[in-house]
Amino acid sequence: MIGLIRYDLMQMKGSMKGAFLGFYLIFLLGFSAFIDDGGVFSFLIILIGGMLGVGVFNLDAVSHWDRYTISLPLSTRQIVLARYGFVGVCIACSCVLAAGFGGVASFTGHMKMTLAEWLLSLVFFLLAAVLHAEVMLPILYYFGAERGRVFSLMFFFLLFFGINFAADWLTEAEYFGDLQIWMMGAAFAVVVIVLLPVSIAVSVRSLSKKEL
Amino acid sequence: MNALEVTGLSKRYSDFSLNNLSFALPQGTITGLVGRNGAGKTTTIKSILGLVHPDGGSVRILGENVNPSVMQEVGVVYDECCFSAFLTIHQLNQVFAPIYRGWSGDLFFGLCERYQLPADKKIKTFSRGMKQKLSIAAALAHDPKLLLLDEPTGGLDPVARSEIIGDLQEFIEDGRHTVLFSTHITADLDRIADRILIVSDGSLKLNEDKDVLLEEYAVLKGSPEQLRQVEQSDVLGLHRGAYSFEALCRGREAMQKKYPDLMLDRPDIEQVLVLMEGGARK
Repeated sequence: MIGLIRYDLMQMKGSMKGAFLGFYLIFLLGFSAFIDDGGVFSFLIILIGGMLGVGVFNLDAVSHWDRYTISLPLSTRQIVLARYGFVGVCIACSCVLAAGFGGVASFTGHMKMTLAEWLLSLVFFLLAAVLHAEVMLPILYYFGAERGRVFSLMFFFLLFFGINFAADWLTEAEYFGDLQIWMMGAAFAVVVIVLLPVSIAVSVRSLSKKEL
Repeated sequence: MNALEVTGLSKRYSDFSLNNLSFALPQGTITGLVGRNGAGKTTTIKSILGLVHPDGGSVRILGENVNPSVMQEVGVVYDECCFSAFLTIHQLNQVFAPIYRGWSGDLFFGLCERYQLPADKKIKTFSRGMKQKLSIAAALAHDPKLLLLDEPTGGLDPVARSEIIGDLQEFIEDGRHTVLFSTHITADLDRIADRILIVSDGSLKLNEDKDVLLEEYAVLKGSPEQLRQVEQSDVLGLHRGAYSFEALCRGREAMQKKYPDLMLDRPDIEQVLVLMEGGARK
């Protein structure tokens, strides 16, 4: 499993153009530092990190690595868990980056929210990124990278607009107290946590039935 | 013990089916799997590896059903390199080291050096031949007891092919290693194979020791008129030309006595394959 996670990480690192990545990070850092609501970019990067992790299926499809992994001395479950582990690493790394961006926005006075609000939003986006992976990984295992790409984009936008809508709704609905918001957040967290083993089981089943 | 036992392997698609394939690979041998494009060679190898799910039959590797533990003893080379173009040989070593118990970085780098593969360059800079050599090095580096090769020498120049054929020969010398080698390049098998399997239209047409094939089988040659003398039951495969025919038969000495007027040649594997396929269209 460790070998497969390493493979995915090295493959993703190798496929990224260093200059482009640097420019992209500087661009986001600039936005965090100089525009109002700069903290928003720290959230966005978590979702992007999760998406990049899920996107490694496209690279597998090109090289046929998915076919090769079946002939390795690993069970289907181990292969699937390695992929989930890899996406988890991507999301975790983006959280660290997000904390950095949040720090920059806070330092330059563009955070526009309290630390508690920022942390709560960060956790919310982290859960959203995990949810994205939990939904997309079984879809990609079932449909493959090419057909799954359409679902991936659709789900990303759905999630992004869903989060914005929920944020607006919670901000405008005055009758929600802090406790209720925390409870809704906790309920979302429970859903995401409960969905994880289900998502893994569906992915394992899809891969074991797949013919490559 | 047999390194690989395939019994009654069947797989049905809408336009093709693998029909009840059975064969065994004794340890310490190289077996050539030959056939035309679409004959079922790759489907056979994929079925052995679990990449496709057979409708029937069983596969046993080193006496066990296929499972992750026994796959530690199997090396695989596909018809194309399956490694990410963005990785280097150094990185591949880090990937495989925790996966295979018997992985030897020294052996891997040694093979890569021998095949003149740069360890620190991305695979995307490699030619097709270099990528195939890398696949072979990766398959050999954990000292597998069974090596499954699906068209591994396609895209290799004759020198590289010869080098790899030599390595395979060396690989089986100790009697513990076994190779199943699917290929179109039958000249490779003439050099190294101990046994030949010919697959045609999803069925196993021939499963024969190579020496028996070359010693016992014969090609009868003559004019179209002389073909009438040849009994249908003696013909395993036939090619008719405008002015001549070639018929594949078994039992060289008997054929010589039976058809003294006809020319009798020793076939090579390619000729056997071509004539058997010609026979199928007879």
